[in-house]
Amino acid sequence: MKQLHPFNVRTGMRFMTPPLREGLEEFQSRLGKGLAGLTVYGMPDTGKSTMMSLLYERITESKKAVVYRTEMASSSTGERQLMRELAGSQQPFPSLTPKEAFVRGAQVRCEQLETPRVIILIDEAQMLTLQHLELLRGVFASLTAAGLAPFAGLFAQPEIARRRWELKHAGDVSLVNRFLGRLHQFRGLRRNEFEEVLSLFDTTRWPADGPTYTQQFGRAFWDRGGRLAQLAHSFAGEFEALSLEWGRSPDDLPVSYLNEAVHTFLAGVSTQAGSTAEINQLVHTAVRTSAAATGFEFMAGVNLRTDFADEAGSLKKPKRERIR
Amino acid sequence: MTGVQWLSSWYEPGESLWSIANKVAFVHATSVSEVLGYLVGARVTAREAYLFPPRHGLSNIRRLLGESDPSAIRGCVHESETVTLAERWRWSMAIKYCPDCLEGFTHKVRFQEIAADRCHLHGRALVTHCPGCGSAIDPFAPAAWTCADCGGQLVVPGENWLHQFKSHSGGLVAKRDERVGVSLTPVWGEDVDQYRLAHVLYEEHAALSAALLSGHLACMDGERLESSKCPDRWLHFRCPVAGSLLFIAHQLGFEGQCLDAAWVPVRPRKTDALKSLIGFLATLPKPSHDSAARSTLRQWLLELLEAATSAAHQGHHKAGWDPHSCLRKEALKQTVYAASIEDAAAFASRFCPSASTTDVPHQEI
Repeated sequence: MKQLHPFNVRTGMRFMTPPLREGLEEFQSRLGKGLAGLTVYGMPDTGKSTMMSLLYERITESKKAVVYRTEMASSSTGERQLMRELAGSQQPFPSLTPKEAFVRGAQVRCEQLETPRVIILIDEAQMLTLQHLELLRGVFASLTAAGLAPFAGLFAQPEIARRRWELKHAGDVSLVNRFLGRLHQFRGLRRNEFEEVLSLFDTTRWPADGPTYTQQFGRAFWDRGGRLAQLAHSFAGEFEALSLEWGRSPDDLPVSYLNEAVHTFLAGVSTQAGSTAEINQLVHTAVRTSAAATGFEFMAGVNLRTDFADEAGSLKKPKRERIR
Repeated sequence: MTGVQWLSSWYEPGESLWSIANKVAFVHATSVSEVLGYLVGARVTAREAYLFPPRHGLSNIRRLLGESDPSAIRGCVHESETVTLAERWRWSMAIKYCPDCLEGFTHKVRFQEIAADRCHLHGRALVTHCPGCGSAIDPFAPAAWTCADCGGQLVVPGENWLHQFKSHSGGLVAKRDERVGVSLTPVWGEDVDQYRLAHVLYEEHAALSAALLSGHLACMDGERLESSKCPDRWLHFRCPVAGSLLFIAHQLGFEGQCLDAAWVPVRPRKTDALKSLIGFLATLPKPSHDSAARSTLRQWLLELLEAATSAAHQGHHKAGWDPHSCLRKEALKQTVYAASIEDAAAFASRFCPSASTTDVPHQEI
């Protein structure tokens, strides 16, 4: 398989940002308590999928649990197809009953690793329908009956909160309790975390004795002694202004927006900027450009608490007129 | 990683590939045919691969099962590099099992020897028919440990199947359904098992087809077409090998599938030729039924081959055929019996020089 260079935010570069660290700690905590699952939700591009990939890799590597993962393509995905996708694309045979095949396969893999723990990770879980969740409940029941300890990690957009509310009011409380009972909001970056995250661009090297990200993409800036961490205040200020302008919280910035802005900034600073004023202007331009490129403006005005999640029971729809 | 779920502890020495395939099929909830196809390339048109895998077949099976030990699963197949026809005829394609062994989800390779009639471990008589419907047990079943004919389960795993596979015990083996047995009362005499004889003939034909037809598959379609147009002109087949085997298949009701080295899961039709052949065999002493059935079929083929070859030589003399190459019956017999499958295929090609030599089933496997 072609190796993708990790020094590219689009192809797998991962920094241990504070929200990611919190998410992993929460997952570890829920897993340790013997609960059946955890639902991680958050705005697009905050790093939920990154967290899922990281979990999959770490758990697979540790061999302390059997882990499966899939990404929901759409809510019309058939139950058999979901089971097949969970079982993995390397399945050599078409199974007549994919659910049974999945459960038996999990039993065998647990036997191989000598562990009872089975972890199922599903991305874009807001597309899971009632039928999907009931299927998962059946799978969990079979795995539990076989003496295994299944755990579901669902990663979803904020709409999952609405699904949770619908299920609860449809009377299927056990489904809610099992899969959607524990929510963890994957937050964005806070202003005071910018320096920590930007310093990761300055210090992370690839390969181990190779250049840093800043050095790789902003050679001239780096050679002049420039470091992104020194610009944390400028970046934070620009994002704060932009967030307020679009009616968003300045302490909930999706990580991908910052990544995009950094990439844009480094591309520009290598060729032209030198003075402080020029650099600040470049930061301003990079932040604005990345906002347009990553869809920041389209999510403007959307508030997780008021538009999607509704713990009080009054369902509200996203305010589309504000989005326009 | 190949994706096949398999544990080394499930294997018992001497266990057959069919047995392994059933366990894998059970875990993956798929058909045994799929698994055998994946592991050794066995198909409905090349069934023998489950007993006689291609060269390096065993190491390939180990790789696919994720076995790193080079001595793992040794003995699950016939390991000779070259299988002679005489050797091939010692083995049965249809499954024979010991109920006690099957209780531990095990089936041994040596049960498939035609001479074997008892389990060497438990001393029990081997079961050669489905307890539910009485038909021969096709190894290519749609699900693990089932009869391809009626779908009945030969052995049922319990909830703790994982433990049962490891401990080689605990399966619930199906017992013979006596009501079905009554309906299978032989027509031609109390001592004659018509299904068994039909199946022996069937297998024999498949074995001959597999060995002799390798270079003649291209001839098959043309011969089928010719025979459908004018079935009485069988002596004028353009390819004596394909024509003779096709003629026998038609006469016995095996259709053309045997000619592709297939062992179809359905019972052969009760044709007049089949009835009269079994009727003839019923007059012989019971212990010699099987061998007599095989000998009769071979004899029939040799006669047909010789007659068809002579006719073909006459018709194609001007096209360069050598009339002196027409072998006598004894020579034919000697060659077919003693040669390896590859040699037999080359031998058979002499009867039809136009036959393709590239599409060889045994090399494909």
